[in-house]
Amino acid sequence: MKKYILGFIALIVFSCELAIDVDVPFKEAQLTVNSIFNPDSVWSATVSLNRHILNDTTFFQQLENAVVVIYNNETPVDTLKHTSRGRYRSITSSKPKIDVEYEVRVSAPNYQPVSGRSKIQSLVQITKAEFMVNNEGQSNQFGEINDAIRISFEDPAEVNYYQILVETKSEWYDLARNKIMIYRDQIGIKGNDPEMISEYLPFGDTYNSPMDGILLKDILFNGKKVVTSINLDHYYKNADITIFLRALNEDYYKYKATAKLQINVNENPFAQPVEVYQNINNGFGIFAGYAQSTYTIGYPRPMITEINPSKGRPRDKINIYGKNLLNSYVSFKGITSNGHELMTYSSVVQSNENMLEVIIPDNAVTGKIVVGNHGKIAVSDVDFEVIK
Amino acid sequence: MKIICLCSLLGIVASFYGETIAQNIAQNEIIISKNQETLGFFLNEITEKTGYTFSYINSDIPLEKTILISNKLKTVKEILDALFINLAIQYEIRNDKIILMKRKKLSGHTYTIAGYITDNETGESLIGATIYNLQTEQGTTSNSYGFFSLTQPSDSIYLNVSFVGYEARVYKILLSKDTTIQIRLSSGTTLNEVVITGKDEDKIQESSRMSTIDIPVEQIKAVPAFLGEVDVFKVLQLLPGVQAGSEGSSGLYIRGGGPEQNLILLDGVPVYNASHLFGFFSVFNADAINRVELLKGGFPARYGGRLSSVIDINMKEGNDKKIKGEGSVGVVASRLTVEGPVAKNTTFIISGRRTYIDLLASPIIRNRTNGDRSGGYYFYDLNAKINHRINANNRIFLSVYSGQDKGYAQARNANDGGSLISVNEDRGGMGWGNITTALRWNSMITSKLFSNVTTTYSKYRFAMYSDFKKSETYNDSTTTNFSSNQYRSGIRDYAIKIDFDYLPHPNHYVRFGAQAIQHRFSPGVLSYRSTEEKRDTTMGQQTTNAKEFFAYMEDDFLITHRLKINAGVHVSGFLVENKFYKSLQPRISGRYLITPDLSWKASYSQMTQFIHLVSNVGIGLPTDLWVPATAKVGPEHSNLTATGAAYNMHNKYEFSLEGYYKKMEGVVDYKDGADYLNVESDWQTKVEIGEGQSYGAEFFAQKKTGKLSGWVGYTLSWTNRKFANINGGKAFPYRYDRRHDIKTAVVYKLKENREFSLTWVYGTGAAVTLQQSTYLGAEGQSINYYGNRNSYRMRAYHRLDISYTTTKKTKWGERSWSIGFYNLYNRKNPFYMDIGHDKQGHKKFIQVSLFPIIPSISYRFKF
Repeated sequence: MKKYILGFIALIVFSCELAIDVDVPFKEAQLTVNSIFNPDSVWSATVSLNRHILNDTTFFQQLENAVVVIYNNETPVDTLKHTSRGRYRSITSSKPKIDVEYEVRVSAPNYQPVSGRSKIQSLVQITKAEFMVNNEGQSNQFGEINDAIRISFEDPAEVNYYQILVETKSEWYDLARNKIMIYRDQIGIKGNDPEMISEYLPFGDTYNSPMDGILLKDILFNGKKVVTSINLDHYYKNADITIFLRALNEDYYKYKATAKLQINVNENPFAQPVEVYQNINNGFGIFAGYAQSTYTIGYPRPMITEINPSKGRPRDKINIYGKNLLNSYVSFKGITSNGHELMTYSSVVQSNENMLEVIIPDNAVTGKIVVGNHGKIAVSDVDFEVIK
Repeated sequence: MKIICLCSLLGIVASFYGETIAQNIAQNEIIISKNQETLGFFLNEITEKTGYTFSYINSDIPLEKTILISNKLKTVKEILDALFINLAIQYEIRNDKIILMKRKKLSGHTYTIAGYITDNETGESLIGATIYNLQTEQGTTSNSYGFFSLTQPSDSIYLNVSFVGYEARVYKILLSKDTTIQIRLSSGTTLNEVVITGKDEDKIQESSRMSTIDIPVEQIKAVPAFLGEVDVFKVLQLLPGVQAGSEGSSGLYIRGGGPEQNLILLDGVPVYNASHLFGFFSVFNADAINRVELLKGGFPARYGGRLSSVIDINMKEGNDKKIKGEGSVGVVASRLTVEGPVAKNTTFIISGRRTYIDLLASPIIRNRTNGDRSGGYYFYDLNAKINHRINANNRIFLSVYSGQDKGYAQARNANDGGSLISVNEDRGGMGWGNITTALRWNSMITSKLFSNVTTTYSKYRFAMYSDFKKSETYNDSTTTNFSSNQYRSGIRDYAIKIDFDYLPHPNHYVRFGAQAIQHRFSPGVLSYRSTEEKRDTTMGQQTTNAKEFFAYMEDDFLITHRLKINAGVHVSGFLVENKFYKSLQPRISGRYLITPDLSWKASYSQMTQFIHLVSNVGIGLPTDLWVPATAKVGPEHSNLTATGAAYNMHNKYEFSLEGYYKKMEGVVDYKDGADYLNVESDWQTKVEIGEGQSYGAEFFAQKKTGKLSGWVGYTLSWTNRKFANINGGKAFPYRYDRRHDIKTAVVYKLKENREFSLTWVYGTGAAVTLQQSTYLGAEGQSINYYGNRNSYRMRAYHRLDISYTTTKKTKWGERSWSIGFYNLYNRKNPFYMDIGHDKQGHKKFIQVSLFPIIPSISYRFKF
């Protein structure tokens, strides 16, 4: 609705622009360090330089010769190595621990050294997640639906910050590489209950950007058991859904929230601009972390135990036996008229948990048979022979 | 100084208008050879020219005293009155003698003379007129209803009544009992230089109040108006200590306070949102207004509830002699006001204004889009008032104001796909408006006690909606889906108020009273309805009820003729969510006359505000949210101290110089970037509570009447705010902090029917926050770094507006044409700043300006 206001203002405005010189004080460039850590990954960081606001370039200079050291209590615990384009990564297998305060110190020739401190607070487990019954969504023209899930977790007594993300995973068979590929898709989500409503959810964007998920602080449920529902924006149902509950530390939460806000208000000339939270002394950037728990609402994987008969002609009926086969699709290796190979779907005559009766497609050729449902697939061990 | 005293005496005499004394000699016209001589000389001359001799006791009559009288005096009576008026001598003409005697002090009795002062032609109350006894030099001023009361020793008194822009009159009254009179003054012909006579209580140096400015409505109408649309608030913006906010806005930022800190009273009823068209125009229609007064400090105890200012606007009551009308046709809007008597003791006024851009634009849009699109925007105002005089002592009024803004757009999109026909309709819009109603009963309980009981109802409401309707017809069966978003916010008040004016003695003007208000706040409710998603949801905070009370008592006390103070106390309370806030606010202001024309003034006031306005853009958008103080977010407080001098030169020019310091506590601001429409969470979690301070000096020179009138003001000020979580807890300049600020308004009457006016304003550039550098974010995005909030200054703002008006009498009344230019020299004033590119493609800051030179024309008429 903000567009209406701006639109009405635009109606009555005869605006006129003038480029003017503003003396913006800018000392020399400073180091920008970004390092987001969690107990499941090794240490990593990026090092770059900030630039004057009126600098015409569009990229940030990456530093390849910086020394990036992680300290705990004045003791170095890890030294990161440059990998590519300003990215640094641990070559040891040491990972950050919860409740330990770390410091990142970065120095590079010609620039002032910078440092920042942060600590992961706690890990909060999702105790349960399930689809809400009675909230079956309708699918749109693309077969996407809206749905809702209910999640439960115990909020610890202290102040906690969360980021909730939801992802679907679907598998597909890559014929050329003879490999099962995984496609991950983050889903736009929105809190349904008052306690799940983000302080920073702007009106108008019904759903948050999938990459940001829901960002929230436990103001309304501090120290309580939380059972709440989340709306899922249009997605393809019938696939595993994984919920990520990230317990952010305060630094990360503040950074995320303000970075999001800065973008939100950028287009509004009347709003007070937002400064993004940063915690790198003498420089810019964020050193912060989170601990993540996941919960997957999954489906059993289909399995092929037997194909009978083991060969056939197009339009023949064959039976596939196995497990979890109800409502599966079946595809054969096929060939197009111009010789292009692809997986081609067959018609399923009947299906139950243990058996599928299918018709061999007209353009099928000898190759693997793929059976799939709920985003998971099973590939036959051996090629099915198609007799021409 | 003596000369000035004499001049003012001359003035008194010039305007002398006494009662007829039925004695022939008294009406004889004679010519006196000199006008400044001793009393003895004048007595001799009168004897020579009339043959009447004077009889007196030598010791009683100061024959050597030099007296100045006007050379315009003609009759013997006029001359005698002029000679003795200030000498406590009374005369009696008996046979061929004129007997002079010391004026008798009659018994020690005092009696009260009370009544109403009105305009002779229209019957409108004259507010702030001065009534003063020429002999005792004691006086008073009329209140908001034109009521006055003066208690004097029993005597034959000469009562001088004067009001700016009106011809003063002197009444001779034998005060032997409590007396009620109705006084009607005639306006000085077209604001000619009417000499302000006598000891004018309302003269700037004599009033105990400070930081208070009133501008004659005629002057408000005479200064150049943006797009020809007379705007009261835009005229107030031309006063020192008042900032205008952003370009074109009608917001008032008074001594570093925000628009929410202004108590805007229309006939005593608070108006919550005084803006039309996103703040470009204010809601008050100048044709319906009798008087506007701005108080920037030194608040008397009778006002309360806001931190920074009081804008007290009185509506006209309606002409009591005949039906009159006036109106105008302008670029933006047209206005019409009709007033007059409806019955013997009843008058009415009704005044309306409406814009008509939508009426012109809508058919064009519709036509060009084959009826698929339409849209428009309009606002209107309607003021109405009925005034009934029950008897000499009782009057009732009913006044109503209603104003609305409305903008809408709709689009229709039909798609005929053969068997499937789909029609999408999209509608959106917004509207906001105020309604205020006041029913008031004035009563003169005794001649010393005046009461005013008011019951009021006021409401402000804002609503925004967007609807989407989609219907699909497939094989003759139609499915229709509908979704609708609606956002509403508002405030509604019921109030009852009683005020008393008690004038026990000429040296005391006591006011006391109390008020109770029942507020209902609806700070942002979002409802979403959809047939497709089968949802019907209402979100946001539900309504909050609150009760506000206050009581006050003040005395305007003349301690010695040099020292006068207005001291009082305002006690208020607020009950919300079972939490009771109370506040005791002392108020004092006073003046010390150094010479009769120069006084030193000082004031101190504490104010408490129990309601907040949360606004994230600060330009007075209708989306700003009125919310009550709550258990979490307490009330706002301010302390204001001011001192300065006031000087009156020749009763024509008024000068004031004031320094002030204001401290505000508990002010609220949205947290960094919080969005107003984020209704899904409680507003309380989105605000920061902090403090502010403002200090500076203001110089003001004003000339209210004459061929050339107007004012010049200069303000030097500093204003800042401090919040724990904004700008790293450091104080930062308020957006409308202006170091230097110059305001000029001049109205020049070339001839009786031609008028030229100009205004020029200059102000240090507004404080803005600009990006300093940019750096890489953790997700690979660019992040802007701003540094300190409001640490840059945009370029200085200055602008010259002019207007020229020519008036002509016609058979039916009077008409006038005005042409004007806004921003005459086409200054590109900064509106906001952004990042852009110059012609060479280099990144530069871009200053966006709003209004270039804009001509306007308007036509006004009166009948």
